Amino acid sequence: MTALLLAVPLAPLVASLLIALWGKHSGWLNVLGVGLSLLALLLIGSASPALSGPWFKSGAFQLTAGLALDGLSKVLVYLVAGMGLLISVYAVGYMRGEKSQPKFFATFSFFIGAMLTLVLSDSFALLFAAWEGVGLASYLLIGFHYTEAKARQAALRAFLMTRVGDVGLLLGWLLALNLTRTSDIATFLTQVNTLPATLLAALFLIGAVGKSAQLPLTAWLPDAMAGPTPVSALLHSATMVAAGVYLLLRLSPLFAAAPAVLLAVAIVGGLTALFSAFVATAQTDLKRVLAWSTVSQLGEMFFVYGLGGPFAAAFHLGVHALFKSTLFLSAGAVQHAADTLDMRRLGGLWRMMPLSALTFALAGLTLAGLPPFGAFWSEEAMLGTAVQNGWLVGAFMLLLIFLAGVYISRAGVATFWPRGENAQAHEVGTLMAWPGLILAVAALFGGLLGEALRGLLPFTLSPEVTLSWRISAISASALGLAWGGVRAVRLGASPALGDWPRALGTVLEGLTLGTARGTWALSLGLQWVEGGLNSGARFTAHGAMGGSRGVQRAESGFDTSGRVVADFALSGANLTARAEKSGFAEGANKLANGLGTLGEQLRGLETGKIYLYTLILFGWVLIMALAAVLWR
Amino acid sequence: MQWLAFGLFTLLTVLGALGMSTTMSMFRSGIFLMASFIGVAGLFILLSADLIGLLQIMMYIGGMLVMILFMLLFSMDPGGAMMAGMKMSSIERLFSRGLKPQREDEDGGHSGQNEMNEEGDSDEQKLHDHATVQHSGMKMGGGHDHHAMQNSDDRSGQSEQDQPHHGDMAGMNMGDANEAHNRHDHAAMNHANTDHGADGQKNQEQSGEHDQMHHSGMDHGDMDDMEMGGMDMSMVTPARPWAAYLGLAVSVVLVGLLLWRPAWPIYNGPFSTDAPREIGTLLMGKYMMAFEGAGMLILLGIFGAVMLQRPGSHPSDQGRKAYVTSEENPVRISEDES
Amino acid sequence: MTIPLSAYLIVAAVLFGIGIYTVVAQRSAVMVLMGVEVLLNAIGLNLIAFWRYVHPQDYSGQIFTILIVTVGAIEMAVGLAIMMLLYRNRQTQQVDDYQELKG
Repeated sequence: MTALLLAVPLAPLVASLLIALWGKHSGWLNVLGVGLSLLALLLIGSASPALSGPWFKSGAFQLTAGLALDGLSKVLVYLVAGMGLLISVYAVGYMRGEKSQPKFFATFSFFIGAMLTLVLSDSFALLFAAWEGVGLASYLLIGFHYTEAKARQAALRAFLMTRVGDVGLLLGWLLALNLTRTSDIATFLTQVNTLPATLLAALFLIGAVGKSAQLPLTAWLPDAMAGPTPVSALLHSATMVAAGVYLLLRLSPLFAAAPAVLLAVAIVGGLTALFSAFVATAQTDLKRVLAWSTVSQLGEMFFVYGLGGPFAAAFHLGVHALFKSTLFLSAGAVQHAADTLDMRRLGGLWRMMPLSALTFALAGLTLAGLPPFGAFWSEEAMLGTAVQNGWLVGAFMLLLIFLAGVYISRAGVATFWPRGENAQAHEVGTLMAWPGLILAVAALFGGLLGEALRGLLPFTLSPEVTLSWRISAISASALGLAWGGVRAVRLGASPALGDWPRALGTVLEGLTLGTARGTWALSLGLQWVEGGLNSGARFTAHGAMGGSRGVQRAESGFDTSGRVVADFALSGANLTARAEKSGFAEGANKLANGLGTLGEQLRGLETGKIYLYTLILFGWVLIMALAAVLWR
Repeated sequence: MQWLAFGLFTLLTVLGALGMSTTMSMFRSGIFLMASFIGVAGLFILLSADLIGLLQIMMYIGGMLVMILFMLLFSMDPGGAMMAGMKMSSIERLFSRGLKPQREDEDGGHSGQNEMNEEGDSDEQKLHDHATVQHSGMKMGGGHDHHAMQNSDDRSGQSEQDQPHHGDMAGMNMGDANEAHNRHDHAAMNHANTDHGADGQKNQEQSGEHDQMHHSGMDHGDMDDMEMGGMDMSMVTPARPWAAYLGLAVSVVLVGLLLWRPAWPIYNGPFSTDAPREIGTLLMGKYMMAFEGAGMLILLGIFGAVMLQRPGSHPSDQGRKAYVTSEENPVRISEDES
Repeated sequence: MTIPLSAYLIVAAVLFGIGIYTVVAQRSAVMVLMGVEVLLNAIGLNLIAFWRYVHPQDYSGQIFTILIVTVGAIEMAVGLAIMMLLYRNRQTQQVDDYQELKG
């Protein structure tokens, strides 16, 4: 049994290695790898094997590594393996004719292996290693068409932004290791009440926010659409971005012990969901609509989780994975067939690509939440949790459902409904059409997933909704669908809600980039001030030492101490300037002038000559050694 | 007996390090460094750390020194030819004996090779040999001797009077015409003073190291007016006086700390001398993380170094072509005329 | 009479001073690296001297020395690689010419 468990993540990894070394039939090797994984899973059946061992020990710390298949991981691992298989088949057709296919499929297999390891891991160390591996695979896959500048930048941006989140995760699990002396997750969760839960939960939240593209780290996901469609379908809609939600779900006892952080999760999720839904209604690129939609749906999951409904979040995670990847698959088919994704140029494709149109329609209806399609049940679960927290929250949820309907029907109608100008296209081959269809049908029956989850997950169920809420939800989604569809038919691909969501989107992006730019400008400004600050230090050193020029010049080069004193000087000067007007102002003026000239002189110290730096370095060492010794 | 070995190795080490830092030829620097390494290895073996001593030889000399010597091939004037003609302080001159400077007025032949046994028969030569013989066992007097000799065309009478300087460290003859070197000499003197103070009573045990470091005989000819045009071709940075003082100060502070501190508890009991076993046990057990970390670092270092030195793809980089020596259209041997 | 601990420490101190002089006062980058080697040697000597005289049963001293030598070797390798790259680009090895840090 444990051998089968080991085979689950190992099969794709071995396949990846084989493809990298051998290079032929890479697409089918990839399918084989994932298929073996799924087979192993099916053979395990309903057992819950686990396998764990120490990785290394150092002093009092012990790092373990192991795989464990419990309820939550079972859900996700089936999801990853199953969808991985279907999308791998799709990818064989999609990548036909491209060069460097072995590189793509090797990385793809590696990603699936790493994702499976992430989900199955029972130790923070292995989870983090897999987390990083997934990030690396994402970077490589997004930047697959590395000759295009857009792809390179998107890959780099994705990697760097998730890296920012990864710092939080790293700090979190290292802190956990420090406190519990082991990296085992299960042990950690049993000790949650004795640990500083808020700090730990906040750190893990940062990690999840990075990986799941929530505010303020959203910008990378829409740009990641520069990668090939199978990548978008698997990574950026269903699995990698779900890793953040998975982390939250796995650590739910920790978050339950930190209600403040739960509130933060809800706020982050809610804001992200709302903003990105608005943005999605105004996009003109089909894949970008879907990307923003993914962000919005993930935000909904975060929101609901923060309100205390982990079951609903998990349920929606599963169903979302199904329908979102379907949508991406048909978008990819459209791209292959019509060579463009610009919705202003597409139209009337259903006659030429009936299978893809059907796939998109089924998945789109699922997203909107119409019964009896799959997401209706998960969205109902989410609504139940929301309503439990007040009817205002429930109304917010309805707004989100409405917006979802708007953007998806706008996208679908603009692409497939006959309009003014119709694009030219042909239907895509079987390899590309059928996996999408299979997934769409699976999404249809997503409601059944809820039953399965009830048995597997350790979370309490969401409360049922009353009939009035249910009707409101249905009408909200229907209204949304209608609005979007009608506007798309009549006005082409213009934004469904007018232009202001687009402005909102730019504002959103500006916020996240703006903080970065603000810091940069601040540092540039500080550099200008630093000249004066350093000379302030020199002035103090002058007065303090009153010694020879050589000693002064050496000491004033010590940046750190100078900065501390200079900070003092600066704050002192600020206060004085603000308080007095005339008498002190003149003195302050003179001081500033003096500082300026001294700063100019001090600039001569930063000559860039290495030997001066080494000289100062060793001189400082000497002085510190003397000081340390004499300061008994 | 132990003191003898200790003195020997200490001398080797310190003189090696000193020579490395003051000689004008970079290649000689490398060799002096090798001597220093051997000295330290000897000291390690004296300290019953034979494994470390052998490791020192293998890793430092066999690895790093070879790397350094290879890198010298890239540098300008590794043999010290151009430097040899310049003004230098006495200690530098001491360690740079034998370097033949490059002279423009020669018939293009000499490009500054180290002259091992240049037998020019001038009066200076005989004086040199005389001085060499008398110098076995003392350093500073000899240096001065040279300097005074070379820089005084018109002061030949003065050359002999600096000979008897055995053990007389304080009697520094500052008959040096060159003002600018005074400070350097002073610093270098004090430098030498420090280590002489340490192994003070070992003067008489200074056996032939000197001889094997110096080459007998050289031809310094018209060295004193051998300034290298307007080029700033110095071996040292402008921070040299500061550096000398700083080095001196650090040594003095460290020695002072040492002497001022109450004694360490010396352990005199038995201990295991099976170093590999002990080290192995510790590395695999208590220090496993460090071991792994070091291994990882080595790997990273290897990859990094290999990656860094590839012929790059920067437009200004000449790329692979610059390093490939074979021709594109080779001529057959039978048709090769030369 | 056996050799006192201080003797070794004095030798190490002198070596350290010479090493500092070399690092600061040499112009060629290769010479600077040689100076760093001397510094590391001095440190190793210090460590082994202390190990032998104070606590020879515990071989951690030797392990530390080995690690220091290792890291020194790596640092040299990478340093020389960087220096070679710089030399390739600038055709000079003198540290004076690498002035990009000029403020």
